Amino acid sequence: MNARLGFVDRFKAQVEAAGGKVVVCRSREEAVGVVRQELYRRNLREVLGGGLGGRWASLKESLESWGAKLLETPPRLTPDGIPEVGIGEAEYAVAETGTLVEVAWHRERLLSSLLPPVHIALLDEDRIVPDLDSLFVVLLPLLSQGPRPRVVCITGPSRSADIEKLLILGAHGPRELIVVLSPP
Amino acid sequence: MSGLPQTLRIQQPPPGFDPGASKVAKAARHATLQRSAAIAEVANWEDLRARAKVIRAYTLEHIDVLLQQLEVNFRGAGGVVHYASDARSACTILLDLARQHGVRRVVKSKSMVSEELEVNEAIQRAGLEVVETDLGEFIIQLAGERPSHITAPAIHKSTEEIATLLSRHLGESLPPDPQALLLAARAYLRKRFLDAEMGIIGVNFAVAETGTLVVVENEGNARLVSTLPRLLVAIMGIEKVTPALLDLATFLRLLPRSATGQVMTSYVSLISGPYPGQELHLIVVDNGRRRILGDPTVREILHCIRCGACMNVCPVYRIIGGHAYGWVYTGPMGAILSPLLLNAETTSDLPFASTLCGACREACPVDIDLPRLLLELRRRAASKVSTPSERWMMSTWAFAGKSRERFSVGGKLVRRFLRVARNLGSVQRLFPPLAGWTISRDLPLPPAQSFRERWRKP
Repeated sequence: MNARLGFVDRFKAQVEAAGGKVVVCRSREEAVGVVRQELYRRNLREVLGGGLGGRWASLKESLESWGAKLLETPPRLTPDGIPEVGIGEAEYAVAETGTLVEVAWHRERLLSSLLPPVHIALLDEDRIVPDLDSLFVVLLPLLSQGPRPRVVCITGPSRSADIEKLLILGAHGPRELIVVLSPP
Repeated sequence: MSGLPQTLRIQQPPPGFDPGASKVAKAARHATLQRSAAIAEVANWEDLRARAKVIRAYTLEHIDVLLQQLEVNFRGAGGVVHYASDARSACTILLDLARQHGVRRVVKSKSMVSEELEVNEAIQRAGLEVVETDLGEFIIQLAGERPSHITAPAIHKSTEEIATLLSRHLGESLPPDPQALLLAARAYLRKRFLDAEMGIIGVNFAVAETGTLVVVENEGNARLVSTLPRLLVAIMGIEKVTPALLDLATFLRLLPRSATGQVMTSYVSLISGPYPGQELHLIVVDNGRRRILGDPTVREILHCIRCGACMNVCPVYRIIGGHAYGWVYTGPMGAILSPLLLNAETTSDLPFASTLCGACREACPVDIDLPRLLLELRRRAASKVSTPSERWMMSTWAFAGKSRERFSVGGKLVRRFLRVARNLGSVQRLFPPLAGWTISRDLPLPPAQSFRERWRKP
């Protein structure tokens, strides 16, 4: 248990060092509340959440009861057809580097952490592995046979330093990353 | 000034010139500082380098088996593998794919091998539109230039220059503010991503064990290129293959820290096969690499993982910048890789553009002995181009230098000869075959006595 707590602290510190934010929740209900609040604060009624797993059915219900829509795909694939916020589930996370790991079996699942300017990542505490070695040990069976998922490792918001080495957050991907961490 | 011979005609730089103040020098210094800080955090940095070196050497030793394994696994995941022996065949494969799919618009993420193959030129000649989507690459594509650094391609450009360039091409007046420029480029490129029928990506590592292509980036453009278009083509040099998925744990600790001083880049995509509804092709390119592989004394340069650390620390690169290297690969690694890949006389003088200070080797995350390779290429260049008289002089020099007696007698003779040959206090003109030496410089006059002679005198 102590080791697990160490992972959470390290993970949180590394996400923050990479320019992201981590909200640690004590329950799944609290996590749902945090997401709702993020949408409320931004005055949003539409959010991109393609391929959100059944484990988060309560989030879907909660948002719908509040009048917000969780979209599977962007309404239009045009620059103005993309919601402000995308919600995605991280299957794993790496404490060593503050990295979120998304495992996507279809295209929609890849878009919510990529197209909107704000990315909210839902993560279960027990999915944090200590280091990169552990991550690739865990991923190996997934990538070893049959149809393989696309795996995306995300560390902080997108960034560019291509103009005179000046670091700017928010290049082609999200400029803001919020990790909502809750017990399984 | 007193220590220098008065006679040396050193060209004075213009007043106010500070070689350390250029854009490139500043950026390189900045990157080096970031890198040092990121490395200091890692307790076993040297172990990581050693492990990476072992993996890279193993890979080159077993490259055919590994490429075969990669092909089998990549196909097993639903992808198609093509092999290209040179630039022309790679571009033909690419254009055939585009034609079969009725492609008109192509988006591309950063790939050094595609610069090497001149993929963009081929696509444009075929009448298709191709847009570079990495911000730095986009800027230099608009400017019609080559990258001046392998990980920071537009580093030689000032914010003002970029503002003028983007304003002209995007048709709006943009202020010289990096944030505003990035936003404008993002909006312009977002539309291109959504409209494109074909995406082209580079590959940082290709895992043989699983058939996985690994793409390391910060901006998210490689994610967009690999996710939005229904036709995706990846291009890699044969040396990008690596045996096992677990190798990534080593390389992903070394690469971001060495390149930009980050613990991890924003995105690392693991592409193993297409997602449903996508078509995925991989073009594995030789283009001179097998020739290097068959040349054991220099094949170590194929260990390179393209982080750019060697150029950031190189005192020569910092002053002259990337364009001076004349081709797509710059800095110390470029000075070795370019002549070997091109196998041409035009770049054989690149290995001489080095002080052999060894900073590049120290910075190299896979511990490539760059100074040794530079020396080896110098030796080859010298044996090819030197004249019989030059070779005779060098062997005389070697003969004299190998014994103390011969050296001091020879020194005496040369000193006497030069004092006779002098005019106006220095040696300004020598006869052939020594004339070449004095065409553009004076030979300072040697002192009348050697150090040993002066030492012996009370």
